[in-house]
Amino acid sequence: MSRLMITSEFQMNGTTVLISGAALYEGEQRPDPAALRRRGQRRATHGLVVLEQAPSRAEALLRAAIEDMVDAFLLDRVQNADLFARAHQIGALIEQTFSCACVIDRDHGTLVNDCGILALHSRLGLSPGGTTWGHCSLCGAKDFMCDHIPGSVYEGEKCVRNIDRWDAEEVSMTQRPREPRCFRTWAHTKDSYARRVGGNTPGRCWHCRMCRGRGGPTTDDLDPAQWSDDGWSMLEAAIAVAQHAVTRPSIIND
Amino acid sequence: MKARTAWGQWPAAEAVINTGCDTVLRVSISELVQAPTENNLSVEEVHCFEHAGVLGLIPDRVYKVDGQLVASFRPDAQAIRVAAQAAGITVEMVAPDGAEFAMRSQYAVDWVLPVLAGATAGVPCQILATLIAARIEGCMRRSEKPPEVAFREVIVEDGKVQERELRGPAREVEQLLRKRAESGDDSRSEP
Repeated sequence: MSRLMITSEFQMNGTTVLISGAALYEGEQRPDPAALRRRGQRRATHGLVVLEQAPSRAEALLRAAIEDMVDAFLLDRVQNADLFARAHQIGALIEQTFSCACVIDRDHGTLVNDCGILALHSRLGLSPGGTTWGHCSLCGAKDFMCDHIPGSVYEGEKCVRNIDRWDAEEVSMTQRPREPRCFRTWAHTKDSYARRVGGNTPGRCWHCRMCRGRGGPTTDDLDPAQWSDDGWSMLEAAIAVAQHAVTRPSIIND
Repeated sequence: MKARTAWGQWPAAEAVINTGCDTVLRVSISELVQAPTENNLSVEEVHCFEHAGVLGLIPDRVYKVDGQLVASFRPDAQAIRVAAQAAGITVEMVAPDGAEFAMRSQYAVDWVLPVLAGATAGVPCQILATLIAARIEGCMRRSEKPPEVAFREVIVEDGKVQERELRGPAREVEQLLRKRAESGDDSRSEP
């Protein structure tokens, strides 16, 4: 599985805003959220068991558990509502035990916090448009040259359309991305970078410690149909979540 | 507050595409040969399709990439093609000679089906209705609201080839297509 990450920079109300995030997943059919849920829970349990004996292994397992839980939630919010709180609780444990630092992106002059937790609050997804060329995973035929339908199972084997090439034409910011995991979208401004990196200190993230998400999702978190469809509100909310996580730990982020 | 029309899209050329992912991606400069969803069918060809009982799948775009003519179809075209052929219908991918087939996806809140021409009533309507029903079921399983659906077909009206679009809530479009499949309504084009 590969993931296409995109960064775009633009002006909003005189401020330079960068939107980055996952715009496309490819190489496999959309994973089963129940399987992601199980794997996330297994990793979390394993991480907690080895926390004292092998802290670095535990940290990797717990961070991976969060990513699985976030993906499971994004793919099926209602069935995985409990993972919203669970991911925050694990996040708080990681932050207190190992701390969470943002990464400095010198190319774009921003601090990047690409932790999956922020996607739980994201109201902004990326959805790409363009032309793709692919081939069938079962027989290798090019598009429309065989009778296998992607997603269907033939003699126990699932047909997948493997993408060989994608010509991007546009990427839309939307509340309804085609791929729900593309809610992994982060907004940044250069201001926060200047404030933080002035002292050469990478920003720390306190999100999970402060966020009321540890108590569970709101009805709004569970139902995208309730979200405002005002694009600029979405963007402002995305920036707020990212900025508060990086620079204002005393403010509750959701 | 800026106008909503200015919101939401930017050309890929302005985006920085990190090639650190597993697949190296190319953003090509394309020469547009024909506008999206525009087809080059003549009135005679449409009638010919209808009378011969052929289902035509129309590409959303036909354009040149690196000198190669490419006809890009909506992703559902493959499922429709295979299901129609299995039902004994002759399917033709309406693309210029030598064009390479590809798939086109475009962000849209609505779910846009491929453009159909020719024998679109009866079995093809049943196939589309089944496709939409499966999608609705998937949405219900995930507690999501089913999308709006756009069904498009080529018709002959006032002696001209035109595209007709039927857009609405998935459930309503599904029911309408089922009704049309049952009635076998094949009176879309002028004789």
